[in-house]
Amino acid sequence: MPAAHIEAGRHASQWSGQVFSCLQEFAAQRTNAVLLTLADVDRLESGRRYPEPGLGFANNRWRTFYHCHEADVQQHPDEHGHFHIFTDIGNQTWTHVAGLGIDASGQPLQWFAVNRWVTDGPWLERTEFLHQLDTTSDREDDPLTGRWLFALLQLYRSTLSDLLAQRDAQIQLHAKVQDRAAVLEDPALYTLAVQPVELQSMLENHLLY
Amino acid sequence: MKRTHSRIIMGATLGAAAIAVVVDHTRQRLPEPHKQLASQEAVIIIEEGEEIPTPSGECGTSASPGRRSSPCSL
Repeated sequence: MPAAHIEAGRHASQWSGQVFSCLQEFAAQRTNAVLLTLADVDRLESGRRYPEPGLGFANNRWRTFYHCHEADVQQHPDEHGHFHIFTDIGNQTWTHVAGLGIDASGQPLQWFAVNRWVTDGPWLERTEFLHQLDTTSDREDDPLTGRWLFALLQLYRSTLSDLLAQRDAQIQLHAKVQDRAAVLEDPALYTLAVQPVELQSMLENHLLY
Repeated sequence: MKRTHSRIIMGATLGAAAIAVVVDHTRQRLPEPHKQLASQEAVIIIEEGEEIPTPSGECGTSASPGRRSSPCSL
Protein backbone atom coordinates (compact mmCIF):
# COMPACT_ATOMS: atom_id res chain seq x y z
CA MET A 1 0.00 0.00 0.00
CA PRO A 2 1.45 3.43 -0.90
CA ALA A 3 2.78 5.49 2.04
CA ALA A 4 0.52 8.45 1.15
CA HIS A 5 -2.53 6.21 1.37
CA ILE A 6 -1.47 4.90 4.77
CA GLU A 7 -0.85 8.44 5.99
CA ALA A 8 -4.28 9.56 4.74
CA GLY A 9 -5.90 6.67 6.61
CA ARG A 10 -4.00 7.51 9.79
CA HIS A 11 -5.00 11.18 9.48
CA ALA A 12 -8.68 10.26 8.97
CA SER A 13 -8.67 7.91 11.97
CA GLN A 14 -7.07 10.52 14.20
CA TRP A 15 -9.55 13.25 13.26
CA SER A 16 -12.51 10.86 13.36
CA GLY A 17 -11.52 10.27 16.97
CA GLN A 18 -11.46 14.03 17.57
CA VAL A 19 -14.87 14.53 15.96
CA PHE A 20 -16.30 11.66 17.98
CA SER A 21 -14.86 13.09 21.17
CA CYS A 22 -16.59 16.42 20.44
CA LEU A 23 -19.84 14.58 19.68
CA GLN A 24 -19.60 12.82 23.04
CA GLU A 25 -19.32 16.21 24.74
CA PHE A 26 -22.33 17.49 22.80
CA ALA A 27 -24.24 14.29 23.57
CA ALA A 28 -23.54 14.54 27.31
CA GLN A 29 -25.20 17.98 27.25
CA ARG A 30 -27.94 16.89 24.79
CA THR A 31 -26.87 19.66 22.46
CA ASN A 32 -25.04 20.28 19.17
CA ALA A 33 -22.82 22.93 17.58
CA VAL A 34 -25.69 25.17 16.48
CA LEU A 35 -27.57 25.08 19.78
CA LEU A 36 -24.35 25.93 21.61
CA THR A 37 -23.71 28.82 19.23
CA LEU A 38 -27.25 30.09 19.79
CA ALA A 39 -27.20 29.48 23.56
CA ASP A 40 -27.61 33.17 24.46
CA VAL A 41 -29.93 34.05 21.60
CA ASP A 42 -33.55 34.82 22.58
CA ARG A 43 -34.89 35.29 19.08
CA LEU A 44 -33.19 33.66 16.10
CA GLU A 45 -33.44 35.92 13.07
CA SER A 46 -32.73 35.02 9.48
CA GLY A 47 -29.90 36.95 7.90
CA ARG A 48 -28.10 37.69 11.19
CA ARG A 49 -24.68 36.29 12.02
CA TYR A 50 -24.21 34.26 15.22
CA PRO A 51 -22.06 35.24 16.95
CA GLU A 52 -21.90 38.66 15.32
CA PRO A 53 -18.10 39.16 15.24
CA GLY A 54 -17.58 35.47 14.44
CA LEU A 55 -16.27 32.64 16.60
CA GLY A 56 -12.48 32.20 16.53
CA PHE A 57 -10.79 28.82 16.90
CA ALA A 58 -7.50 26.98 16.26
CA ASN A 59 -5.24 29.76 17.52
CA ASN A 60 -7.66 32.30 16.11
CA ARG A 61 -6.51 31.49 12.59
CA TRP A 62 -9.97 30.20 11.75
CA ARG A 63 -13.30 31.90 12.25
CA THR A 64 -16.93 31.02 11.72
CA PHE A 65 -20.43 32.36 12.05
CA TYR A 66 -23.78 30.63 11.75
CA HIS A 67 -26.83 32.03 10.11
CA CYS A 68 -30.03 31.01 8.44
CA HIS A 69 -32.35 32.68 6.03
CA GLU A 70 -35.70 32.53 4.30
CA ALA A 71 -36.83 29.10 3.06
CA ASP A 72 -36.73 30.15 -0.59
CA VAL A 73 -33.01 30.89 -0.50
CA GLN A 74 -31.69 27.80 1.33
CA GLN A 75 -28.74 25.90 -0.07
CA HIS A 76 -30.42 22.52 0.54
CA PRO A 77 -34.13 21.61 0.94
CA ASP A 78 -33.50 20.26 4.46
CA GLU A 79 -31.20 23.05 5.53
CA HIS A 80 -31.89 25.06 8.68
CA GLY A 81 -28.83 27.28 8.23
CA HIS A 82 -25.10 27.08 7.70
CA PHE A 83 -21.72 27.87 9.16
CA HIS A 84 -19.47 30.03 7.00
CA ILE A 85 -15.84 29.17 7.71
CA PHE A 86 -12.94 31.55 7.09
CA THR A 87 -9.19 31.31 7.61
CA ASP A 88 -6.59 34.02 8.20
CA ILE A 89 -3.93 33.74 5.51
CA GLY A 90 -1.78 36.42 7.13
CA ASN A 91 -2.13 39.85 8.73
CA GLN A 92 -5.80 39.32 9.47
CA THR A 93 -6.60 38.74 5.83
CA TRP A 94 -9.62 36.49 6.05
CA THR A 95 -10.61 34.26 3.19
CA HIS A 96 -13.66 32.05 2.88
CA VAL A 97 -13.02 28.31 2.96
CA ALA A 98 -16.46 26.71 2.72
CA GLY A 99 -19.97 26.69 4.06
CA LEU A 100 -21.34 23.79 6.10
CA GLY A 101 -25.10 23.28 5.75
CA ILE A 102 -26.94 22.06 8.85
CA ASP A 103 -30.35 20.41 9.09
CA ALA A 104 -33.14 21.21 11.56
CA SER A 105 -31.76 18.74 14.12
CA GLY A 106 -28.28 20.24 14.08
CA GLN A 107 -26.62 17.62 11.86
CA PRO A 108 -24.22 18.51 9.03
CA LEU A 109 -25.71 18.06 5.56
CA GLN A 110 -23.19 19.26 3.02
CA TRP A 111 -20.16 21.40 2.32
CA PHE A 112 -20.52 24.10 -0.28
CA ALA A 113 -18.32 26.66 -2.00
CA VAL A 114 -19.57 30.05 -3.11
CA ASN A 115 -18.42 32.66 -5.56
CA ARG A 116 -15.93 35.33 -4.44
CA TRP A 117 -18.40 38.25 -4.35
CA VAL A 118 -20.59 36.40 -1.80
CA THR A 119 -18.02 36.38 0.98
CA ASP A 120 -15.46 38.98 -0.17
CA GLY A 121 -11.75 38.64 0.62
CA PRO A 122 -9.04 37.04 -1.49
CA TRP A 123 -9.67 33.84 -3.42
CA LEU A 124 -8.47 30.82 -1.46
CA GLU A 125 -6.37 28.52 -3.60
CA ARG A 126 -6.63 24.80 -2.90
CA THR A 127 -2.94 24.49 -2.02
CA GLU A 128 -3.25 27.41 0.39
CA PHE A 129 -6.18 25.70 2.11
CA LEU A 130 -4.14 22.52 2.60
CA HIS A 131 -1.23 24.58 3.88
CA GLN A 132 -3.53 26.30 6.39
CA LEU A 133 -4.72 22.93 7.67
CA ASP A 134 -1.19 21.60 7.91
CA THR A 135 0.13 24.60 9.81
CA THR A 136 -2.62 25.07 12.39
CA SER A 137 -3.55 22.98 15.34
CA ASP A 138 -6.58 23.03 17.58
CA ARG A 139 -6.44 24.07 21.20
CA GLU A 140 -8.03 22.38 24.17
CA ASP A 141 -9.37 25.71 25.41
CA ASP A 142 -11.12 26.45 22.11
CA PRO A 143 -14.91 26.53 22.30
CA LEU A 144 -16.43 23.12 21.66
CA THR A 145 -18.06 24.30 18.42
CA GLY A 146 -14.67 25.49 17.19
CA ARG A 147 -12.98 22.19 18.08
CA TRP A 148 -15.76 20.28 16.32
CA LEU A 149 -15.47 22.42 13.19
CA PHE A 150 -11.69 22.16 13.10
CA ALA A 151 -11.84 18.37 13.49
CA LEU A 152 -14.40 18.24 10.66
CA LEU A 153 -12.19 20.40 8.44
CA GLN A 154 -9.30 18.00 9.07
CA LEU A 155 -11.43 14.88 8.66
CA TYR A 156 -12.91 16.17 5.39
CA ARG A 157 -9.57 17.47 4.14
CA SER A 158 -9.66 15.55 0.84
CA THR A 159 -13.40 16.20 0.35
CA LEU A 160 -12.83 19.92 0.81
CA SER A 161 -9.86 19.81 -1.51
CA ASP A 162 -12.17 18.22 -4.11
CA LEU A 163 -14.82 20.85 -3.37
CA LEU A 164 -12.38 23.67 -4.12
CA ALA A 165 -11.22 21.89 -7.28
CA GLN A 166 -14.86 21.54 -8.37
CA ARG A 167 -15.38 25.24 -7.58
CA ASP A 168 -12.35 26.22 -9.66
CA ALA A 169 -13.53 24.06 -12.55
CA GLN A 170 -16.84 25.95 -12.53
CA ILE A 171 -15.03 29.29 -12.60
CA GLN A 172 -12.83 28.06 -15.44
CA LEU A 173 -15.89 26.91 -17.38
CA HIS A 174 -17.57 30.30 -17.11
CA ALA A 175 -14.28 32.07 -17.83
CA LYS A 176 -14.44 30.69 -21.34
CA VAL A 177 -17.23 33.13 -22.16
CA GLN A 178 -16.33 36.09 -19.94
CA ASP A 179 -13.33 37.52 -18.15
CA ARG A 180 -12.33 35.54 -15.00
CA ALA A 181 -12.46 38.67 -12.83
CA ALA A 182 -16.01 39.28 -14.04
CA VAL A 183 -16.97 35.66 -13.32
CA LEU A 184 -15.81 36.03 -9.71
CA GLU A 185 -18.12 39.04 -9.33
CA ASP A 186 -21.05 37.66 -11.34
CA PRO A 187 -24.18 37.88 -9.11
CA ALA A 188 -25.83 35.14 -11.16
CA LEU A 189 -23.20 32.68 -9.91
CA TYR A 190 -23.65 31.94 -6.24
CA THR A 191 -23.03 28.31 -5.21
CA LEU A 192 -20.26 26.78 -7.29
CA ALA A 193 -19.75 23.36 -5.72
CA VAL A 194 -21.33 20.99 -3.21
CA GLN A 195 -20.09 17.87 -1.40
CA PRO A 196 -22.44 15.78 0.77
CA VAL A 197 -21.60 14.96 4.38
CA GLU A 198 -22.41 11.50 5.78
CA LEU A 199 -20.79 11.93 9.15
CA GLN A 200 -21.99 8.76 10.88
CA SER A 201 -20.77 6.57 8.00
CA MET A 202 -17.50 8.47 7.91
CA LEU A 203 -16.93 7.80 11.62
CA GLU A 204 -17.85 4.14 11.26
CA ASN A 205 -15.43 3.76 8.35
CA HIS A 206 -12.50 5.25 10.20
CA LEU A 207 -13.12 4.23 13.79
CA LEU A 208 -14.33 0.66 13.40
CA TYR A 209 -12.33 -0.88 10.58
CA MET B 1 -10.04 -18.79 14.40
CA LYS B 2 -13.79 -18.82 13.92
CA ARG B 3 -14.23 -17.67 17.50
CA THR B 4 -11.78 -14.75 17.03
CA HIS B 5 -13.62 -13.68 13.88
CA SER B 6 -16.94 -13.59 15.78
CA ARG B 7 -15.42 -11.42 18.46
CA ILE B 8 -14.22 -8.91 15.89
CA ILE B 9 -17.65 -8.72 14.30
CA MET B 10 -19.28 -8.37 17.72
CA GLY B 11 -16.82 -5.59 18.59
CA ALA B 12 -17.57 -3.76 15.36
CA THR B 13 -21.32 -4.08 15.90
CA LEU B 14 -21.10 -2.66 19.41
CA GLY B 15 -18.88 0.16 18.15
CA ALA B 16 -21.33 1.12 15.43
CA ALA B 17 -24.15 1.14 17.97
CA ALA B 18 -22.15 3.39 20.27
CA ILE B 19 -21.50 5.85 17.45
CA ALA B 20 -25.19 5.83 16.51
CA VAL B 21 -26.26 6.52 20.11
CA VAL B 22 -23.84 9.41 20.50
CA VAL B 23 -24.88 10.96 17.17
CA ASP B 24 -28.52 10.46 18.08
CA HIS B 25 -28.08 12.37 21.35
CA THR B 26 -26.81 15.36 19.37
CA ARG B 27 -29.98 15.41 17.25
CA GLN B 28 -31.72 18.27 18.97
CA ARG B 29 -34.38 20.44 17.37
CA LEU B 30 -33.11 23.88 16.39
CA PRO B 31 -35.25 26.99 16.95
CA GLU B 32 -37.28 28.28 14.03
CA PRO B 33 -35.74 31.42 12.56
CA HIS B 34 -37.87 34.56 12.50
CA LYS B 35 -37.76 37.22 9.89
CA GLN B 36 -35.36 39.99 10.87
CA LEU B 37 -37.14 42.88 12.54
CA ALA B 38 -37.44 45.84 10.20
CA SER B 39 -35.92 48.13 12.81
CA GLN B 40 -32.76 45.99 12.86
CA GLU B 41 -32.27 45.78 9.13
CA ALA B 42 -29.47 47.81 7.65
CA VAL B 43 -30.45 51.15 6.21
CA ILE B 44 -29.41 51.28 2.59
CA ILE B 45 -29.49 54.63 0.84
CA ILE B 46 -30.36 54.27 -2.80
CA GLU B 47 -29.16 56.98 -5.11
CA GLU B 48 -31.16 58.04 -8.11
CA GLY B 49 -30.92 55.51 -10.90
CA GLU B 50 -29.29 52.88 -8.70
CA GLU B 51 -30.72 49.36 -8.56
CA ILE B 52 -32.72 48.46 -5.43
CA PRO B 53 -31.09 45.54 -3.56
CA THR B 54 -33.30 42.45 -3.19
CA PRO B 55 -34.29 41.20 0.30
CA SER B 56 -32.44 37.94 -0.40
CA GLY B 57 -29.20 39.91 -0.33
CA GLU B 58 -28.81 38.68 3.28
CA CYS B 59 -26.65 35.77 2.22
CA GLY B 60 -29.35 34.34 0.00
CA THR B 61 -28.77 32.59 -3.29
CA SER B 62 -28.94 35.81 -5.24
CA ALA B 63 -28.21 39.43 -4.55
CA SER B 64 -28.06 42.72 -6.23
CA PRO B 65 -24.55 43.67 -7.29
CA GLY B 66 -25.19 47.10 -5.80
CA ARG B 67 -24.42 48.20 -2.24
CA ARG B 68 -24.61 44.76 -0.61
CA SER B 69 -21.98 43.26 -2.79
CA SER B 70 -20.70 40.66 -0.28
CA PRO B 71 -23.66 39.51 1.80
CA CYS B 72 -21.80 36.70 3.60
CA SER B 73 -18.49 38.38 4.35
CA LEU B 74 -16.97 38.05 7.80
